Amino acid sequence: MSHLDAEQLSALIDGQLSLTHRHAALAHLEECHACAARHEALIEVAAGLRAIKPAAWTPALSAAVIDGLDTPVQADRSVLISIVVALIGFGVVLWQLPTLRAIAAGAETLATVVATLLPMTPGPGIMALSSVLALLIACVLLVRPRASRR
Amino acid sequence: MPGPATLRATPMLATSSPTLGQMRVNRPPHRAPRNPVLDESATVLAAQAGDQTAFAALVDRYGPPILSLCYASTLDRGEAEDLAQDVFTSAWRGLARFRGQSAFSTWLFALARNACVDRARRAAARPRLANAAEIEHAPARAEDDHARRTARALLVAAAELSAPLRQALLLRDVQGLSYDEIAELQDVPIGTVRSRLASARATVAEEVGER
Repeated sequence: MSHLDAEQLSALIDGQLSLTHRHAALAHLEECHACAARHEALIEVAAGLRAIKPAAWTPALSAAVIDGLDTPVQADRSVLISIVVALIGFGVVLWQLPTLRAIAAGAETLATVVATLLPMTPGPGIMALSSVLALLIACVLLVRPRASRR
Repeated sequence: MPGPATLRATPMLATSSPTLGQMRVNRPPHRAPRNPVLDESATVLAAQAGDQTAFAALVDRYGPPILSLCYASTLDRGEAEDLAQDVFTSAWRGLARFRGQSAFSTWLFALARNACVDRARRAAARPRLANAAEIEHAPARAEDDHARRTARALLVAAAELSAPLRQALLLRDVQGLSYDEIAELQDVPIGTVRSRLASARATVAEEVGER
């Protein structure tokens, strides 16, 4: 019989060889010192690692996993709400596009007026302030007719 | 390496596989359900519907193999526990993506393998202090200084193996998993497990023999 390879020797350690192959391998090990030495070396590795305590799953780990779970229902709901808000926002933008354009034009005009009245150069700060003012004015104008209708 | 006492004990190891099977001291006894596939499908469906009790049953069932894989990848108990918990958290959040086209275990083990790969990638950028600590304080079953020194030398050598070889070696020889279980965890045929184990043991034996 030719020498045993590492796979045969390793399988022999784990009882993975068929009965016939196991008997043949053991018979070979009786005669071949080189294979017997390699077999011993592999056994020492397996036996040495066996001395190490395995990492063990405990009920505390299960409890920690369960305690740390979020509810998928809540997660789904938050995603749904985000989508609905985004769609409403998009719809409002489309619906009020002329109004928004008017607000932007108003903000620009307001910024120019403010810059003319005050000795300032129109910059991002003035533009932002004007936009907020224009938005407030637009809101007042939009809300007032509805209030007067009641 | 073990002394003569260990060597005398080795023929038991060589001739009977139940000897290695006996090392599963910390694994819970397997309780076979009436119909495991149907029972598990129902449990998975319940978990997908948001039933945390059903998910807890899956965690209890798959915690040991997932932790074994994480430990065999990280060589660090604390990190393995964190990683295993992360795997289950990801599984919970991604349960809707599981369509039942494969076994739940296949899906879950793939998640675990990916988590181990990601963790190894992150760990590659920093010193392996945790592994060093684990190796330094390798808990031996017996309070035997010689066994501890041997285990330390073997772990140092195992740490240098490629991830698939290291996993196969530790899953078999430390965690005590069967070839079938290792094949399922690594998603490879049993023949590959056999060759990985042989290669890992031979490399470690050679490495330890040279020191």
